[in-house]
Amino acid sequence: MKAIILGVMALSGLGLAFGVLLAWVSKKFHVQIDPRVEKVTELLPGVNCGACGFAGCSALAEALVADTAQLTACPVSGADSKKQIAQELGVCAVDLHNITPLAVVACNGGTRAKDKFKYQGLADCRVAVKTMGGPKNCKYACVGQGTCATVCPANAISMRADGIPLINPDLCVGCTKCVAVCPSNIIYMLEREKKVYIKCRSRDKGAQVMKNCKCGCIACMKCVKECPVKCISIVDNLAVIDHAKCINCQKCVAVCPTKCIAVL
Amino acid sequence: MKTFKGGQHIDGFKHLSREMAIKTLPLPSQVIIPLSQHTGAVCEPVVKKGDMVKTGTLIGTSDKLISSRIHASLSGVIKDILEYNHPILGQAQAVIIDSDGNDTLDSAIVKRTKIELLSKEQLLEIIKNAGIVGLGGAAFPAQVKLNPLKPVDTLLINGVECEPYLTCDYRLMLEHTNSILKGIVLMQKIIGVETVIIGIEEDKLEAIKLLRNKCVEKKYNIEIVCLKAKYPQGAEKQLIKAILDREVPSGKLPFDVGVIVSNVGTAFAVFEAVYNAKPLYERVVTVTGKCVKQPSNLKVRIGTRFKELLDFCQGFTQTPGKIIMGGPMMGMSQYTDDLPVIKGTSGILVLSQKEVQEFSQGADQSCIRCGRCVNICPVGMLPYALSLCVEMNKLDKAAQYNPFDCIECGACTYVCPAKRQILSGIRLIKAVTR
Amino acid sequence: MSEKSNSVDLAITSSPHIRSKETTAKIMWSVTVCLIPSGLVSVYAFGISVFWIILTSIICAMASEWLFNCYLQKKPNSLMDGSAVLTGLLLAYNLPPGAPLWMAGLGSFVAIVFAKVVFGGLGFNIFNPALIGRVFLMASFPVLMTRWPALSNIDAITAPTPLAVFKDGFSRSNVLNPIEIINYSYQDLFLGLRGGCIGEASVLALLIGAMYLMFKKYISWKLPLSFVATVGIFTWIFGGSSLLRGDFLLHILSGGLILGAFYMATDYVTGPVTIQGQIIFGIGCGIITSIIRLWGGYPEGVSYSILLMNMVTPLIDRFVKPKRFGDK
Repeated sequence: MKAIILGVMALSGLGLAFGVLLAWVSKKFHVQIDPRVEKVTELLPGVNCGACGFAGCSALAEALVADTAQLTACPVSGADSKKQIAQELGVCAVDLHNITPLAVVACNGGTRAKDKFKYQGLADCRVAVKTMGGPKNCKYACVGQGTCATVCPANAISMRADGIPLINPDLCVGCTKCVAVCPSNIIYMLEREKKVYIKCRSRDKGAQVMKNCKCGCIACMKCVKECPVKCISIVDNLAVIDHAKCINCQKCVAVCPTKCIAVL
Repeated sequence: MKTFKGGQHIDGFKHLSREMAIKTLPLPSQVIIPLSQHTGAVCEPVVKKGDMVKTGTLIGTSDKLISSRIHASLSGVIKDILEYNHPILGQAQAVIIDSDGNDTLDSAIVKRTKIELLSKEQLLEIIKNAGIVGLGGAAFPAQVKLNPLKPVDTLLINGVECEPYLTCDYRLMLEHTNSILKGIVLMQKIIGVETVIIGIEEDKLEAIKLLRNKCVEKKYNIEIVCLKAKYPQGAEKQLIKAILDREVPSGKLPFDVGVIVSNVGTAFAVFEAVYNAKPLYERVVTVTGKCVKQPSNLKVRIGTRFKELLDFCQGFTQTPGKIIMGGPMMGMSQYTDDLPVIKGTSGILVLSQKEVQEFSQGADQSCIRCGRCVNICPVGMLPYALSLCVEMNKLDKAAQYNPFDCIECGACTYVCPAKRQILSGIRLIKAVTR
Repeated sequence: MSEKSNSVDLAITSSPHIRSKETTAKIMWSVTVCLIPSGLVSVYAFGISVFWIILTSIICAMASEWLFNCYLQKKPNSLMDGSAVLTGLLLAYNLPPGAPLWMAGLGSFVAIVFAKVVFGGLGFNIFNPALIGRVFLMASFPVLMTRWPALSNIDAITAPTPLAVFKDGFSRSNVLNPIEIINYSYQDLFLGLRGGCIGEASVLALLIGAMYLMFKKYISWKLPLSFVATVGIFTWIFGGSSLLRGDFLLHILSGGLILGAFYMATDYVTGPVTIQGQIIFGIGCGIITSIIRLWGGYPEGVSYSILLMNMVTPLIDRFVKPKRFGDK
């Protein structure tokens, strides 16, 4: 019995002593942290993708509070959270319109794009395109090794059975890593409000495209003629949409003979 | 026996073609001569569509320092200048010549006399005009290599031919011994060095004996060193290490340690250019592989299609699965046989579909850290670590493992029991971090 | 011909285009086969029940591998690479001949699932799976794991192992010549007529297999040698009644040293990759083994020494690197 009392007393004594010590230390060595940093960190996406160039979201939050970074540095957070952060920081929410773009794939080929040879090396697009000028006849085509899917931090990209990547718009955080890694430069960022985009990057002449895949832009001018606001033009055998003018009427989608204009 | 640390003997399959004397391929009816066959600047064509050319006529040149001239390999008419399949670049500008069937030599090609009176500068000019490049594979312009920026004390002649299957250098040493030695003496004179050493692997004893006898007979001051047969003994840096025990650091060139390394084929080309005034428009190519009916060593004109060489070797015994330009370790696989032979084509290797399947089976299993790649790596890298960086998609972590030391010999990938594509990964790292 | 090769039938990969004939599976199966002679001696010495222990252990290892790696994780079939079989076999070799079958099964389950699959499968485990299985059993069932039956008479009263006897004598420190009191001659120890774990029965049988592995260059002779030599030297210096009077032959020939040094410390995945690193690994194992044997609480320390050194492997690999070509 004596032993138990002794034990309890010893432990309580130790606990008390350490408690006092801790309290004293936390007072003595207290570091003043701007409470806004914590709040901004909470409002940021928290995936620590590093796309802003800072070491994670809390680092960006510190920089934002210190006013050494722009709110637009984070490509991931949505317009709503950006607005909230702007309110929190007391800055004017500068043009927050369309700052959460989405990655889209500008190739319609996949298995439909004819193979020059069957590539059997390392499953990495960057290696594939360097091997004998790439495994597809079309040098603008997706080579389908799925490197964009491997680098995606949000697991938003999966390879479809037809050999081109499918980007899930709900998961895409707009970090642009896939854009940077794609050696064929066929992934680009599209503002979410803009629904219509061209699924081809081929500058080849129409006849050549028909030979290569039958589903790319053949520069037939039909979309150009159809567009009510004249926002489509043909540059180097490729249709280009001026997204600033586009009204999402989707009339071009219906007339495209190779179905290479897509809707999000 | 001299050698370097690392490496391993690889079953050579040289028996397929090593006893086949060099045969001359009948003149093709058309040649495709790419304007980029060498390390350095691409040549500009100096002829145009419809021009008549003779064998040995200059058709492409460049005023850049590191470049090499291109000559017609047939007499005939320039049919066109256009993009054509290229065994290294995929597609490249090429001059297409239709043969007139006569093979008329250019008027400049006449035997020279009084060779000993030619000065170093004159010899370098001859080599430059003849468009000679290193015929070991890298195709570095010879006139640049033979005129080093730093003083050198040794000329090494590479007769190793460590790539499996290839035998063209071996046949050249046996059949053109005198010419090669004369070419070496010319290079010795150009560089101005006393010491000349020819390195040959132990499995080419006949060549070693023959060269030794000839050197004694003609009183040449050339040493012939017998090297251990192992891959990659013929890599420039490993050859210097084995023979002279000097190490060329990563990113440096042989002349930084006072050495110039040249291939026996290059020595032969130098001889031809100086004695016979003949530009480099033909070379010896080994056509081999278990599924080639009649493996051979052929003297062919630059620009001849692979298909014609393969047809001359009587085609295939099995369905081909891979056509490789060069050897199996460092060569490049091709997707067609409609490709021209270029100056750097040392061999055409055909693997059957069965072999290709065998070699690609069970690729990319997990690394068991057996250390084979570390032990075999001739430059002391950690290939498995780089391969893991690629697998984990952490390319930024790869820099600490010195990826740029890699000489891309492929030995790590060859020995890997998990069949990982280590070298591909290292190439990727190099391309991304550059 | 031309039409054929111009089609997409030709495969394109980057170099090299040929591969050696060695495969992971071939290496694993070779090690497994090399362990068979030792198992046969054990069956001869301890009776057929040993065979059932080995079989149970292997089957459980394969079943766990299949269930957790192939079935639940949907990974490609990894049974044929032989690593699970080898783990099961090694675990059985680390059990006493009288171990119950359920214990062998449980041990292999722990070895495969908790030491290998949870780390990511073959190639990613930090510790030797078979040793983790053994240590788990040692901690959970110490009595069953140290019940050593007498030779050829498995149900008879237990007989202590040479090392246990030695430990007993050494701690009383009045024994001048331990080899006399353990009832075995050096020859017995070498040929395999002694008590101990299943795989420890015969040094000769283990060495025969190891010779083949070294001949095929599947294992390097340097690591086992540095391990064994370190144990020999250390026990010679400190293992006797006074300095330099230890019976090093007894220490080398008894216990699981040979099995551990040639078959478990040489495990590729959990050991250093460079030869120099492997020698350091061997020396470290040797020192820890000797310390445990001479002064530790257990009569045998091979398993713990290898596991402890497994932990140091990343550190060794970090500091011991091959000389960079071109560096002075």
